[in-house]
Formats: sequence, C-alpha cells, structure tokens
Amino acid sequence: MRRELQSLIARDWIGLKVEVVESPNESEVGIAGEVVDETMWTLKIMTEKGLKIVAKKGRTFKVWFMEQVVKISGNLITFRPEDRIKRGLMLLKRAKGVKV
Amino acid sequence: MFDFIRFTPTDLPDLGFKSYVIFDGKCAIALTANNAKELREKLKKIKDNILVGVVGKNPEVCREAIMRKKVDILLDCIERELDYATIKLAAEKDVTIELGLSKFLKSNRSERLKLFDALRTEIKVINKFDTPFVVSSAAENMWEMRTRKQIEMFFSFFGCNILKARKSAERVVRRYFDKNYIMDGFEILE
Repeated sequence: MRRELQSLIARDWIGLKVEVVESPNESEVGIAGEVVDETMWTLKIMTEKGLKIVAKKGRTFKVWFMEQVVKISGNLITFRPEDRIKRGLMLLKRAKGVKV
Repeated sequence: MFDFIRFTPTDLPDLGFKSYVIFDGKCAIALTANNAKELREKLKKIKDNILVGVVGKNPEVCREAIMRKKVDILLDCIERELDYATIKLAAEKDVTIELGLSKFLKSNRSERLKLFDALRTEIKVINKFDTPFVVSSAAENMWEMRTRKQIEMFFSFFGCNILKARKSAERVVRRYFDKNYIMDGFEILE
C-alpha cells in the first residue's frame, strides 16, 4: 500500500481530487477540485467556481488517492507529466529511508 | 528537538528534549572504521530501516560515509576533521552532520581552543552550503548530558541556526520512526 502511495509522485494526476493547502499567494489557499490538465509548471483544477490554473512550485497540495489523503509539495512534481514517470522514480530512489 | 546519545540512559530528568536517539544497535547504530574498506564491509551487514551513524575519525572515512546512501548522519568525535569539500558533498548527498558538545567537555586548554576554531569554520561552511546538521550532547555517559537550552545556546554563540538544526533532527528521526512520513514534502495524512 505504501509503495503504491509512493508512486503518486511518478504518476499522472489527471482525475485526482486535489486541494491547495499552502501557497505564497494567499488567495490560492483553499482551491479544491479535480485535476483536468497538467503542464510542467501548473495544474489546471476544475473547482465549483470554474477552472483555476495553479502553479506547482512553492505550493503544497492535499491529494486524495487510494482512499488515503496525502500531503505533497509541488516542488517534487515540477516536471512534465511524461517526464515525471522517470524523474519521480529517480527522486524516490535517491531519497534516504525510502524503499522502491 | 532530539538528542543523539551513545549509551542507554536510566532515570533521566526532563532536560527539555522531545526524545532521545540512542545508538545501541536496535533502532540506530553507530559505526566506527579505520579506513574506507572496513566501513564498506560493515555497511554491507546492516539491514535497511535502521538509522545509521558513522563516527568519522579520519577524512577518508568521512568522505566514504557521505558517499553511501545507507549513512544518515556523520557523528561527532574529537578526531573528526571536516573539510570544505566534505561539507559541500554532505549537502549534495543529504547526509546530516552532527555537532556534539561532549568533545569540548573532554578536552583542555589549547586543544579546546583548536576545537572552537574548527567548529567556527565548520559552521561557516555549513551555513554557506545549507548542509543539514544537528546539535546534540553526543554523550557517552550521563555526566556528559546537558539540557536542550544549554546545548542550543552554546552552538548559537558560534553562529548556528538552531531552527535549522531542529528541523534537520526531526527529518532524520521521522524518516525511520514515523510511518506516515515518506520523504521531504511527501507524507500521508489520513
């Protein structure tokens, strides 16, 4: 279970429920919804009030994944989605105390 | 704030620490080696999921320890000499450097002054490269233990950023003793 949760850093986020928990821009805190698209630097989140584009860098997100809630820093996912498979696994392999 | 000690204490008063990391071989282990080859052989025998500290008595062992993924913390001792390149490498490889108080208690006069000088240089380089570091008593017996405030005040006099030290200590401990912590910036909430 833990290893599948770890893979969140390397997988695609489209379709996942997400909430912005920390951000240098206070107006972004609390933005919650489903991720509809993703680029290298941003996440496009469909909220009740419409589509919001949120930068990844410097933000912290709460993600609902596999019936668990995970808190993840945007700095760890600041790659192109297609690159993240390789880079995400690389980050996990390099991190200490993590079994991949 | 956590204290990193080398013995198993009994009946301790409240010294202001959240908890103690004891290098007794069960949840944390301290390795000593005379050369790089010996260190490599000892590291091969260690299982995963244990906090590994290396007592670097010579620069060769320190450098080898920092290059190893299994090593989490470079423990302090009187003979340890950290140079510019080693501290820079520690920042890149995410190996925490321990700044211990016990070597100052054990030393005298001119030897202690030399240690102060070396400490000041090390702290300058640590601050430059933002190397993870912790401050602790590095106690080998109960007489070398000090309160949290005493240790923090001592090292802050030499220019240590105590908040960073606390954060680094928490990171190292959470890696192995918190089930919800995966890595920096990534943790399970519910």
